[in-house]
Amino acid sequence: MSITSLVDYLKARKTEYITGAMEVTLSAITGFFIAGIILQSMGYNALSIFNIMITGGVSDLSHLAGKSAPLVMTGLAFSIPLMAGVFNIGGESQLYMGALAGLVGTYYSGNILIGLVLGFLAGAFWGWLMAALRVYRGINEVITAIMLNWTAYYFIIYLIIKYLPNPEKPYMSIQLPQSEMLSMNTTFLLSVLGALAAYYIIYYTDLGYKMRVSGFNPKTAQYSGFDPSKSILFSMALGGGLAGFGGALLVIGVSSGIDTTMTSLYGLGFTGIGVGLLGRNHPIGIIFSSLFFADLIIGGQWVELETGAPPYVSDTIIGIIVIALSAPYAYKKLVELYRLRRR
Amino acid sequence: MTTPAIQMRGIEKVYPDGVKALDNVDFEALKGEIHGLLGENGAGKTTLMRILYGEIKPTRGEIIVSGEKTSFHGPWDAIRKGIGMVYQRFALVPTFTVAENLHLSYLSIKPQASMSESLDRAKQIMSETGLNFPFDAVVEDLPVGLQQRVEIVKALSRNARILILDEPTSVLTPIEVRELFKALRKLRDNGITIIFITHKLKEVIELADRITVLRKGKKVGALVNDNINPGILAEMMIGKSIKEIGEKRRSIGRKTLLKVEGLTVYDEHGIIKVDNLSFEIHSGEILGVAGVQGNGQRELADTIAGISNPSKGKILLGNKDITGLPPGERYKLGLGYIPESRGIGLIFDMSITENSMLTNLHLILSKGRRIQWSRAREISGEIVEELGVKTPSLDALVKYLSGGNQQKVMVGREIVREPDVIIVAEPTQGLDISAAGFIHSTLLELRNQGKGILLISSDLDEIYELSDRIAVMYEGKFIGTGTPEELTRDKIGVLMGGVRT
Amino acid sequence: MNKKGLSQTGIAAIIIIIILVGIGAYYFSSPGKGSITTTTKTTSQSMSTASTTSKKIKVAVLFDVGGRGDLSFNDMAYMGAMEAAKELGVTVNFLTPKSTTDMEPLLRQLSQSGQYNLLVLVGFLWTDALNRTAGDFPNQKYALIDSTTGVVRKNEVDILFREQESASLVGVLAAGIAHQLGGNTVGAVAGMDIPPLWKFHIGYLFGVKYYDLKTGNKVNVLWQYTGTFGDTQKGYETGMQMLQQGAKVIYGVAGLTHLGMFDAVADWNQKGYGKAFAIGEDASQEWYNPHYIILSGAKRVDTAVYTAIKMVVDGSWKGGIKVLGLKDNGVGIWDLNGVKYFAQLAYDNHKTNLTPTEIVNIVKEMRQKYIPQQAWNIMKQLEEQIKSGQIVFKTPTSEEEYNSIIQELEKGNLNAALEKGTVS
Repeated sequence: MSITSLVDYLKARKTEYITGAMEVTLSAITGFFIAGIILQSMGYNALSIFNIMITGGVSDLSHLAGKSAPLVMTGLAFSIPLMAGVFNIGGESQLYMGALAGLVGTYYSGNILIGLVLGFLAGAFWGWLMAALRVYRGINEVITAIMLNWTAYYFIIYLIIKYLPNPEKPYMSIQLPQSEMLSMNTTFLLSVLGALAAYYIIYYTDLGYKMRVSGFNPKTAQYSGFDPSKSILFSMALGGGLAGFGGALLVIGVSSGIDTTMTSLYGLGFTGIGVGLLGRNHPIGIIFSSLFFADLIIGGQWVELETGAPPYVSDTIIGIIVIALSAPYAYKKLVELYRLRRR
Repeated sequence: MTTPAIQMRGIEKVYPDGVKALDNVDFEALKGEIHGLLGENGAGKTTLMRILYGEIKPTRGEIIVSGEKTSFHGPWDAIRKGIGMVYQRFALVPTFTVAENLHLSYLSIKPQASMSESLDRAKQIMSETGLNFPFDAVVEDLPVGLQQRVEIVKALSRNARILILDEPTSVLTPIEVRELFKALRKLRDNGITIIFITHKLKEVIELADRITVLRKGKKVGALVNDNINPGILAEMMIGKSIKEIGEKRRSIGRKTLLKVEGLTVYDEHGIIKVDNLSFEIHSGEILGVAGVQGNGQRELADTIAGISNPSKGKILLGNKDITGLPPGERYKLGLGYIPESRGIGLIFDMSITENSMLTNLHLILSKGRRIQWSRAREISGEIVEELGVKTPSLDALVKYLSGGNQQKVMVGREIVREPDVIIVAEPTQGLDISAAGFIHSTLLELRNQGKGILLISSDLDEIYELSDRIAVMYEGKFIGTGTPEELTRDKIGVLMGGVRT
Repeated sequence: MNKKGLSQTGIAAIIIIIILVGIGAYYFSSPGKGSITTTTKTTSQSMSTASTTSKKIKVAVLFDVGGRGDLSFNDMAYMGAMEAAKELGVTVNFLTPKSTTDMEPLLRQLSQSGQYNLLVLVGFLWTDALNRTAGDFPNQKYALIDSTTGVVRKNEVDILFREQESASLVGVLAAGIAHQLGGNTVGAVAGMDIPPLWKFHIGYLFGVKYYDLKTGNKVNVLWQYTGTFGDTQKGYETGMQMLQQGAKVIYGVAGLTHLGMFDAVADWNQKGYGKAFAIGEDASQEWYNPHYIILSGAKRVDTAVYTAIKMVVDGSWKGGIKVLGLKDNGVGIWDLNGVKYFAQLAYDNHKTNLTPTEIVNIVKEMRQKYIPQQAWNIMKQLEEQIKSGQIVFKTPTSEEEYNSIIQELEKGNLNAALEKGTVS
């Protein structure tokens, strides 16, 4: 796209951008305002807690990078299927599967690339499975995802304890040696590349275009000769694959293994839902929203140390701010989706 | 004569967006009669009956049930007054058994009732009416005809004395229709008032005691069904044309562009929608398909475009058999399809350029299946220029365009790849006169260029203005074909009601 | 277009209102109420009683993932830290990591800041993070509780426990209870077959055989590794099997897994199959079901945290491994005060409906009724021998050594488990 056409494009979308920006501003103010009132009424200094939360994450950029890398991926794992009209809350277990495959692949081959590719494929398979149950068996993907999330959770704990235990550390799986790991900064770089690749697929290939058309209206897709079922399968496989890639990145770049309590993996997929919504379903937006999320999550951990507020205080604040920021968009998307389903 | 069972006086309904659905309509049904409520799509039949059932509040007017003036706050009030309604889409819980559904509905009038009490009540009604069905079957496993019976018994078990049926035959097979009519007559003989909403002339004439005709939200008349002439009914329903048929050049070519042979299509419920249909379209010809909506026109268009699959028959585009091909391939081979709804033919949340690609994707993809946006913008630019779409930018979202400009985008997209045959469904629905005129002249120009056009429209004026040949579609068949001169308005009206002359 | 214009003005109006209300709220509340309460908070957190003007020692306690409210390690660590704050006059702050992946970066950043004289790391999950960090910050002191990096560093203390010692006391009492109930079998549901658990096995078996030696009553020990610390179902099944094999007392050394065993014991009693008791480990677990959990072995994380802080305060700091035993109050059996402390915690966390006093009373009654005085006496005798250093347990370094010790113990050769001293 040339510069002039880009300017044209931006001009044509002026209304959307302005309302979007206003919505975000309004939501941010509302979120911080409500959170502030709650903090004050609990007897904490709201401004200083906000300050810790926001600056706490930025103070260690490589931590921030390592924390946001998997979130970029799970954010995309939620958003891409949403473009095709599917509600993917299975990012959680797609990430698990990717983490497992990434660990096993890298550990036994000694090659990071193999680990990353296997991670992608494992996540893609898991996402595809959820979509297939919807497309071929008519099972609501949300229910499938909830059940498969737990299936994967216990399956991985079982595998780690039974087949991949770490002889030195009973709470750990086999671990990658430092020499076979990436730096946290590199994982973030790879996640950005992943987001750009997703952007290319969504906006520059027929698969992405068909997927978006199906998401807006499956009947239009049929009319145009695109199979909406294929789009659902494709979007879930792509989304799942990216979540799996994120899981592999996490293991290869940050955690080196998976602990038997799964704390290194747990929650990243669910957080991805917020990341995707806050990023307005756009790959580039998701990069920024995942940084924002990672910042709050890391900063939130400093709150206890600095102010003595128990950890649930910062969790609550994150929750309120995220809900406020993503609620208007989520509401619109849900209404759209619901309307389509009813037809 | 006793007091009528139902009287509705001066009913007016204006929707918040200013659309006047009903305008000063009077309606009267007598006790123990079958009353046909006849009209085209959008004439206001269903709106009137939903007002009677308490589902919609009228803007103005009064409702009198058995001589008593009433006002309903909701259907529950109407049910208490002995009014029952059976919709086209049934209000049954599909995963419950028949017995559970009957019990559920009986509880609404008698909250303490036991299951056996509800079923006894239902059995009694079944024996009175002869409407039989199994109690222990799960509703979604039953054929539609039986589900409808459950609905009727359900309404009657709630002591309905007035039963409204909204297009009850549209989902039924001919045998089921016969049985339904038998049961309805029996109900009438038991003193139940039945209001039968339909657009099928044949059925009202066969079944109704009296008929009320609505057209465009107004009551045209009410008459006793005694040796009625279908032509008169048709005319009442459709109205006389104001405009005379314009002068047209007619130079149909010899070349057959589209040939349809024995096409048969069923819908997902197994109802036949296109019934062994054969026809041809030649170069430079517009074939107008008239008929009341829902007689298989959409299925016909969808099947030719490849969106639905025929169970039998062949479709030839030029000399090529395209029967098994997916829509994209057909578009590539020279077929254009302008669907009846812009909600289907366009994605409102996408830009003009993105909408221009829907059926032209093959022109825009590179060999690596990459979207060439510059090429896409060339095409959308061409569409905007050729059809004079008023827009600030090619990147503007289609939802911000006016209806006429949206339609132009859709039409332009289908003609930009220069197909030989174009299927056009309801091309001017909801457009203002100037936009409609532009679309009409565009279609005529295409015909003059030698394209073949299949025009599907429920607007008779449009059919007369554009068509070189007219076919009237009724229940999946062309029950009459001819030139506009041969098929006069009166004839078409009767044919649209399903009566062969 | 008209409609849209209207809604946009509406949005703008809402924004302005919210901004104004927000500014107002902060203006009125921030300098007053907020900051004052925060100050009091901070003071109450540090619990400082020291009046010295010299630079106060600052300690950060970094919890395991999940943090406080676990009624085990983290709560015990908190307890020890608060005691140190009170008695040693140090300032203590706490931090709860969100996930294991956050541990290393947080630890590194804290070390870099140099704000704290000591960083106390609670639980084995910190091992890797510490091992990768400690070498880079030679001036930062670290204490790792209940795990070791296996590397000796001047700035790092790894605090471990002599589990054999407490387990041996538990073994004596378990055998006594079984005998009192007319049985001759005790059991133990263990987690994974790993070195720390070997120590429990040796101690427990030793205690039972010691009772045997002193009273002449033969008691068998069923020891079962479940292979997991997190599977309550497995704990339940293993517990049930032991009860069916006649076990009267079952010791739980399997983390979450043995909570399932507790349930099995409760069911066994409630269904009237017979009388049996369970024994907990680490924290006092009697509150979980005081009618059937009669004892808990103690792993005093609080003592460990306190000890580590004290080493910094009194200048006795020395890097390396430090093992706490009975003598140091690092392990033992929870007395009724301990039971009450954890009952209170459980009650405050809504984990039980019984008040702490009720729980203590039940436990007291059970102990009086079912633990014979003879067993107490034998236990006291053994405790004395251990505390005085007359006997010291072996810590097996290989699986072969572990297996041979167990074999000898089964044969009744108690001295095989001892590194120093003998019993007779």
